[in-house]
This record gives sequence, C-alpha cells and structure tokens, in this order.
Amino acid sequence: MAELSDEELCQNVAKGDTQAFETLVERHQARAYRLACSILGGEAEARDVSQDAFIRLYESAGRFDGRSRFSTWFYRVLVNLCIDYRRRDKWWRRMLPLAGPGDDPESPGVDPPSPEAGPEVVAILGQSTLKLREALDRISPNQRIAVLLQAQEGFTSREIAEVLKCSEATARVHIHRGLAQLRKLLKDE
Amino acid sequence: MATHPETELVPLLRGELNREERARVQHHVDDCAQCRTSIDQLAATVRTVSQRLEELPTPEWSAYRRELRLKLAARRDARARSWWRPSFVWTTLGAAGVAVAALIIALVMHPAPTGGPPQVDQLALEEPVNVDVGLLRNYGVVERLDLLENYDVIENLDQLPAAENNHGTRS
Repeated sequence: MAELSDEELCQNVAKGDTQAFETLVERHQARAYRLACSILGGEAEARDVSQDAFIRLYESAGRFDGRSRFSTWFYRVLVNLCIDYRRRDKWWRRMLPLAGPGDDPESPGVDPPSPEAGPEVVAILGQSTLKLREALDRISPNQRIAVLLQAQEGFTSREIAEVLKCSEATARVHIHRGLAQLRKLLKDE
Repeated sequence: MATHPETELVPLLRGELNREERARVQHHVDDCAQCRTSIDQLAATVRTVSQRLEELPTPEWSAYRRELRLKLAARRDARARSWWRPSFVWTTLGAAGVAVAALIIALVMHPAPTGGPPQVDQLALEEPVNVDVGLLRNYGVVERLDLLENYDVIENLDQLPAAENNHGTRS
C-alpha cells in the first residue's frame, strides 16, 4: 500500500478501500493540518477543518478525475473548507450580540479576541514561529494561501492558480506580493 | 531599464518558465542588480516560511485519526437514518396531503362522465330544442347503425323516381 502513488490510492478509496484512505490520511495529515492552521490561525479549527477535508476526500474520491495531481485536488478542497469556515465564523460573529457586561449602547462592543498570543502559546510555539503566524495573518487570504502552498507544498504557480481558481498570472502576483510583504513583516520583528 | 519582471522572479527560481520566458527574464536579471537582490530575498523568505511552518506544533496523530474515524462513522450513521427522520416523514406526509387535496378539487371541478353510453333520450334533451334529430329520435335506428350508411337514401325514399316501381312490374 505504501508504494502506491496518491492518485492510485485515491482511486482505491473511490472503490471503498479504507486501508488506502488510512494511508492517504497518514501521508497528508501533518501538511493538511499545518496549512489549515496557518490559514485559520487556531489549532482546534485546523484540526476540525483538516478532518473535514479528509471526510470529503473519502466521500468524493470518485470525483477525482486524475487530470491534476492528487495534492492539487485535495488542497483545493481543504482551502475551500478553510475559506468557508472563515466566512461562517465572520457570519456568526455578526449575529452574536456585541454588547458587553455593562450593556451600555454607547460603549463600543466587545472586541474580537486579540490576535496576540498569550504567554503559554508563546512558550509552546517559540517567538519566531509566532511572528510568522502573526505576519501571515496580516497578508491577504489569497496571498497567504499562495505563499503557504508554495513554501510548504512546493506547488507551482499553475497549481496554485488551480487551487485559487484564478489565472496563472494572478497566482504569480499573489506569490510575489505575499512573499514581499512577509519579508518586510518578518524583518520588522 | 525596462520594467522589472517581479512576478516572474520566483517562477524563474523554481524553473517554471518556458524557454522564451526564461531567456527574457534571465537576460534582465543579469543586467539588474535590484532583481538579483530581490531573487535572493524571495528565496530566503520561502526558506524561512518553510522552516517555521515545520516548527508548528501538531496534534497526536493516532488520536487525530481515531477522531476522524469516529466522525466518518457518525456521518455514515446519520445518512443511514436520514430516510426516517421526522423532517422527511413530515415532508412526505405533507406532499401526500397536497396531492390528495388537488385530486379532490380536480374531481369536484371536472366530474368524470358516468359509465356506459348515454341514453338516446338523454342525448335528445342535451340537443338544442330547435334542431331536428330526424331518425335519431328512434333508438331502434341507432341500434341499426348500418342503416345510417344509407341514411340519405332512406330519408328520401318517397322521392325516388317512379322508375323503381316500373322496374318492379317488369320483374
């Protein structure tokens, strides 16, 4: 099983082979989780969303037509789920009452949680990784996804364009601007 | 100096450009110190991002996969049960009720004709009063429909030329 390519494993998953599914999960769990974590910013959300992506893989493996690499197809599913999650999250935030305990209509609403991590998170992540997460949070979602797919997955501009559903030229712009911004933000640290 | 091919620097680094593009961008880079610096900086940033991502803490993978298996099983169960969900039952009952109501309304608005052929008397009643139905008044005629083929002849029997009688005398 281990010697089979991702694409072959995916075809087996489509036939109901659970062992092939387990192998695919083991191969991609860390990268899927890290990518989701970098896009969403939280471990719990990343865990949930990356698991949802694997469930989608299990249920729609038959739709993988093999025209692109398995990873392009799978990470497109994952990225879409992350984007949906963020959208839903924002929608719920809008619906939640923002008034604080004082309930004063004149006072500003409760601020969303601070993006700055607490001391325990800093201890776990280390300063440099934390800086990267903060920097990633400051660039646009498309730039962030483009940079992460390139740096972590080694995706080409064309593959990133497939994931982001844009032209290759646009994907190149996202990569360049994202990297330039990150460099500036990381230099300031 | 022409515009810097900024967005093509990373693809150049990664060998993604076709021969023509590569020649053009490489030619520019060879003459442009700013782009050479940019390439070095972009490559360093990619390396930094890649290294720091590796340092992100990850969950305990066997627990992660166990959780995933449970989620999958729960989804399968939910799908299997979906056919008898209350919402499904109520939807089906509602649709059936609407269909029955529509059928009743249709029957009331357009009642079906009663079975069997209508009686001749009934036909006569439904005809406008001033229309002469001729031989159809007589149900016996309707029973002998074959006679209707010669209806015109029968109706005008008394107007037939006398030759008929002559023919009879000759025989």
